[in-house]
Amino acid sequence: MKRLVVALLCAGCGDALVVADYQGEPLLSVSGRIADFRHANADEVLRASVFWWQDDQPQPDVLQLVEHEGVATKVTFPATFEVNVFTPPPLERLDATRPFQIGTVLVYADEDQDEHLSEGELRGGAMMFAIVFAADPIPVERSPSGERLPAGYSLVRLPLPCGLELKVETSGETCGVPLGAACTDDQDCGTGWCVQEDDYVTYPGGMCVLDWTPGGCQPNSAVVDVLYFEDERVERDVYLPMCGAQSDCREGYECLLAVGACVPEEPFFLDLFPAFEPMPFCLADFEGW
Amino acid sequence: MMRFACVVVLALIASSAEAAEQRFAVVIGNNRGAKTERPLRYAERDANTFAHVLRRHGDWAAENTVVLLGESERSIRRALLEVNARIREERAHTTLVVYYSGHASEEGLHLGDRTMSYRELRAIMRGSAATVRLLVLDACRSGGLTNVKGARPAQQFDIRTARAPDVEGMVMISSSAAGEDSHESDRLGASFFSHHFTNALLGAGDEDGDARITLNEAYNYAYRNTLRASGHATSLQHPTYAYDLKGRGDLVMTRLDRAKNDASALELAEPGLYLVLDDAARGDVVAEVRSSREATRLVLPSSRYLVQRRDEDHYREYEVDLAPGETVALKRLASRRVSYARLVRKGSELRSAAHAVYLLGGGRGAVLADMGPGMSGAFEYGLSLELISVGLRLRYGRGPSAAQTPTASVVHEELAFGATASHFFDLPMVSLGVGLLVETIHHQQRISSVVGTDERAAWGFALGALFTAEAPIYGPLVARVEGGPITYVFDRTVVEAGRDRGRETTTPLTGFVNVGVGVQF
Repeated sequence: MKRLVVALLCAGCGDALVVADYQGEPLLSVSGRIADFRHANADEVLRASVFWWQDDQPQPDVLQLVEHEGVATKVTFPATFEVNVFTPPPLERLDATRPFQIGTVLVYADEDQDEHLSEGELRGGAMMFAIVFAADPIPVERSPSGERLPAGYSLVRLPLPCGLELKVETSGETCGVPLGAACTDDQDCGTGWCVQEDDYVTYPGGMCVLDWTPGGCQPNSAVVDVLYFEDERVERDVYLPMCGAQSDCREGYECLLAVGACVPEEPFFLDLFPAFEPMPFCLADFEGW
Repeated sequence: MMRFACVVVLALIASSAEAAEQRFAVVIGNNRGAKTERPLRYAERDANTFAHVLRRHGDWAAENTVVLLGESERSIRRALLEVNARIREERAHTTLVVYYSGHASEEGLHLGDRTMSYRELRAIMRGSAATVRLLVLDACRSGGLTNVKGARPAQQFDIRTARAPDVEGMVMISSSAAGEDSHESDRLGASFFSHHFTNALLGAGDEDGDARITLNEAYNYAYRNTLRASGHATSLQHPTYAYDLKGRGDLVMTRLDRAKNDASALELAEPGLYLVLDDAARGDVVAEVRSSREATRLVLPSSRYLVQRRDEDHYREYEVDLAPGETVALKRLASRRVSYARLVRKGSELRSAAHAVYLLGGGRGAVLADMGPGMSGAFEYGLSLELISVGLRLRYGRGPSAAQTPTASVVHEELAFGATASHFFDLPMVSLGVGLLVETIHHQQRISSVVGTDERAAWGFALGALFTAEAPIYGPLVARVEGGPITYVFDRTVVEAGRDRGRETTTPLTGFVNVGVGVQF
């Protein structure tokens, strides 16, 4: 009797039971923000899903991409999304001879409610990241990102070097600047200067950079990138610290492999705007945003 | 079974001089005892019934039968002395029966505030000129009259082997031993002893089937059934006897073979326990009879009766319409088998509970959204009481063999321990129950996906309404159909984008249906 009473009082003891929309633990989970640049149809019901390249065409017709079934998404407007993938890609519909599959996240308005992307429904997608699936681990020399990729899913920043040799200008100089070091103002950066933020991102802890000037000093282990400061209506070409792996960068920074530079970590974005098209993945095919 | 030495002695009582015999009776009933004693309900009624049986089926003439109800000690003493005076004037063989139903103690009869001592009563009886004197006391501690403490071992004796015309003397019978209570029964509307003694005289005690009920037979029958009936009360009740006789013989108390023309009789079927209910009235118990032989005949007023014959696991019910002067044999009537559960629900002193086990199978609706219905099987023990039937059940349930979430399959199993409580309404062919079901449930889920297998275990409970229909199939077998709405209580996952994001308590409402069979005992 005592056990019965305890059992009755114990409603809710133990695990929580799963329900039909539970799909298990995801193999891949991507979350981030949504940047909506549309000025109309903001009340559309949008659907996000993962799409896979059937072949190696850099910029195929979106309708030829293979949609991944069984992807669960949560889109909370105006700001966030979450995409969870619980199964491997539909390899039977892809070129399974490739060492890896590459895919992206697209957002569409399922106007015909067929739960698939149809013509005229595409509204946006991922421009700065891609999904790589490999049945087996991919060694560095065969990796599109230039890094060893594990078996299964990986998220990679775009564009990918895709085997492109990056030309790193090295002169053995420091040029009097602790490139990439944390800083609070320009005094901390010697001949360089301290960047705290640009138009797009904040630099955690500040970062010492050096302006590129034609014929100027070229510091060792540095790459040149462009920083935008719209308020000041200027673009500044600067040397950033070079990297070959995520471990080369300070906390709060990630290695943008296509550039080979440490840049501030950014959330994944899904960009919505008219006439959106998926971007090519490889730097060689990349024409810029 | 007890057969009493008393019987031996009673058998010795001479009554062979039936032809010239004159019979006298003083029948006393008094519901009121001392101030400290709670008034009895049926003492005066028992006395009336006894006197009626003597007059109608014995050879006691109405003018020789004095009935005193609620009378004082003085009136009773005067009546006894007057009857003795009349007996002294008789030259023939005479029999005097004095019957008392009321309060008493180990010293004497309690007649309101006064007590008539056993000593005086014995003296009056001994002083009577009647050839045979029979004193019957149905009262608490009336064994003080016979000085019997508790039950006396019985002796086997065949009274028919010893007949003689010259018996004379006195026999005293008490409904209980000294120190014992005598019980009344609201169900019988009489005291146990008087009810069985009177029924014996009406035929239930006719052991040899000769339609002559002797004192021996009546006492034997009353002893057995009073003792048995008191087994349901707080204390046992052993009728006792004492005698002082000379000679041998058999006192025939009633003769059913000479019943009046309009007397009706019921011929019982095989030996067993019968309950005769007044079907026309409120189902009052007219007679509770335990017959020891085939075709025992019971004299009854013409009326409509419901007769129940009790067996181990059921009772059989007969509807009898007894016309004046008619004898109806039960074995020629249609009957229907009824479970004891029904009897118990009607309220029975003979049986306060009935048992059953059930095997049930069925299904219930989806407990978890979109997970589909499940199947279940249950084993239940049921206990039927007068107002409520309760049950304890063990149930195993299983959801769809592989309920599909978009990317995983889930097997959901339940092991439940439940309790039921229902009130049943007994209709002619079916019993309908309305009640509650509560279960404590151990849930087990096995989730298989490409990632692997995950197992989850949780406790919860369920509370539901229970509607039951139950009908007899064959023998003790019954069919049961049950169902109703039921609410589960347990914790479920909060899912966002297919992932487990936490838990919340949920109370899904669904329904269940079970069918099955049971064995009642």
